Amino acid sequence: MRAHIATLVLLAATPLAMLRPMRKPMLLAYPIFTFIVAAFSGEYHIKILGKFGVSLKFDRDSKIFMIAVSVSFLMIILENLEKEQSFKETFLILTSLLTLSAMFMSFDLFNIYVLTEVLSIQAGLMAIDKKDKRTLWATLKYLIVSGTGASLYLVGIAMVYQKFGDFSLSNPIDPLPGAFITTGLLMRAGTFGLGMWLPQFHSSVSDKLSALFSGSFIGGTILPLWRMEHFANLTAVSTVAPYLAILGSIVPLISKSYKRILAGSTMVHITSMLSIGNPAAYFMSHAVSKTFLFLRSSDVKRDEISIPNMVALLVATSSLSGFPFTLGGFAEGLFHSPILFIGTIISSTPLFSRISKVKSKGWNFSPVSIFPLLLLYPYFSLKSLLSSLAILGIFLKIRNDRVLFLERIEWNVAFSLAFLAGVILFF
Amino acid sequence: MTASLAMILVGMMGITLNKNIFVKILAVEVMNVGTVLLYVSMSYSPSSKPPIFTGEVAYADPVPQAVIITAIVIGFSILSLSVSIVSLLVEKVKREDSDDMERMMKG
Repeated sequence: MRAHIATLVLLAATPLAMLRPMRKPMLLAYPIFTFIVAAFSGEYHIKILGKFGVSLKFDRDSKIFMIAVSVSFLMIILENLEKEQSFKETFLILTSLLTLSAMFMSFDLFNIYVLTEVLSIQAGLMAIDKKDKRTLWATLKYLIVSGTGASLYLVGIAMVYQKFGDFSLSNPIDPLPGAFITTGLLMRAGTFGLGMWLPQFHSSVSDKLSALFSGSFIGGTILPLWRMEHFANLTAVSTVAPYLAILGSIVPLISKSYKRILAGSTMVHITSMLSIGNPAAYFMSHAVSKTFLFLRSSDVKRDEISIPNMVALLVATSSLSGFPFTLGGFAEGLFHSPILFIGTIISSTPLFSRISKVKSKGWNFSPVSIFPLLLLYPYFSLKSLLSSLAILGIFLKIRNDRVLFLERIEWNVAFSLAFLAGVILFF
Repeated sequence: MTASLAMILVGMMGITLNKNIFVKILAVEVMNVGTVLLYVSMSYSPSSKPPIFTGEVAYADPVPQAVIITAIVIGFSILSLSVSIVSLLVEKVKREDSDDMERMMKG
């Protein structure tokens, strides 16, 4: 079955979630079915309803992004399976998975706009489930930024339409519309805009939504932007991305909260993914590790975690930091700019520092802790070794000096080591 | 087209400069309406007729008008959701100023 037909069939079946006994089986079946469809469907590129209809491209990247998102959704669903699921919650989770799948197949600029807006509404509705003032304020900021970003994006694609007469993603995009499109999409992904809303959003919403947002929803920005860069020659992305990576790496440095550190590192990873030749492996590593790290944030806040979960936490963090023998290390091997290594080093060190304070105790096992083991990958490169040594070097220096990293940062040590690693990697 | 770009700029100014949270939401909508106007003006030319087929004459391009209907509907749903959230928030914190709200959330 073709992937878009499977997505439509699943969408048509979502009202079944109104029946209470169907909710849990559906929550488990949807990501598994999406995974199977993504893995076994053949590649294709079609236009439905002629020149102005919908253009779909299901290629290798769509497959990997869909697989990553289905694994990430499955982790979240398994973690929350014991809880009672409401219809609204079930419906929003299922439809957001399908929206993302559709996004990974979309190959026209207007369709991408529609799907990103649908995803914003779904995220907004999921976020306000927890009706405290912080969550409402963070969600409102998200909606304002995403509304502004949507208007800028529409202005950009209007310019493309005026020049080429259609919204196809294969038209070469000029710098001016490219700037509008890039700004619009990156604002929605949370790399900048309205007081850098992403860290506040993560620290205010539930762990489940943070995991969904950081692990999966950002894929809805990464793949379209990367495709524009690749097929439509959108150079604005790769030009601006490394500098945004450095900007994003400041957030984990100045944050005390674990979720804010993770949110800051998401900003770095979004921009890093956009700067490399192919973001698929990086996204897979990011989706699985970020989902797990956010799902375990309540354990980290308590400073106590079971030993199997601690092992999984260390594997996820290592992959996120690009250590050798992990999928993240393989993805980091694709980095061209030393700025990206510096961004990763600066954003990963606070994460190690925070996790090192958590005590492991007991052997409580959760099925979700198996998933980070998927990130172990037999790949070794000098680049990832140097980058990981820089992270461990800064981390150990801080520990040995007994300086509490999050309260008093040794800026000189951190930056000089990161700079040194960057220079070595550059040459 | 000039009017639409002016509306987009006014909307952006409203979002960035105005502190009232209701005005911010309205500014997003002004920006959205500016974009709709841009699409409508883009397909218009003085010699063209409305895109209703009555014979061989020059028609206004119907595609931008057709696609922007989707944007209007989506914009309306985001506006409704935002207004609901603002109402709930203002009821809880008894403030409408975004700076005050930001301070309260940090404190």
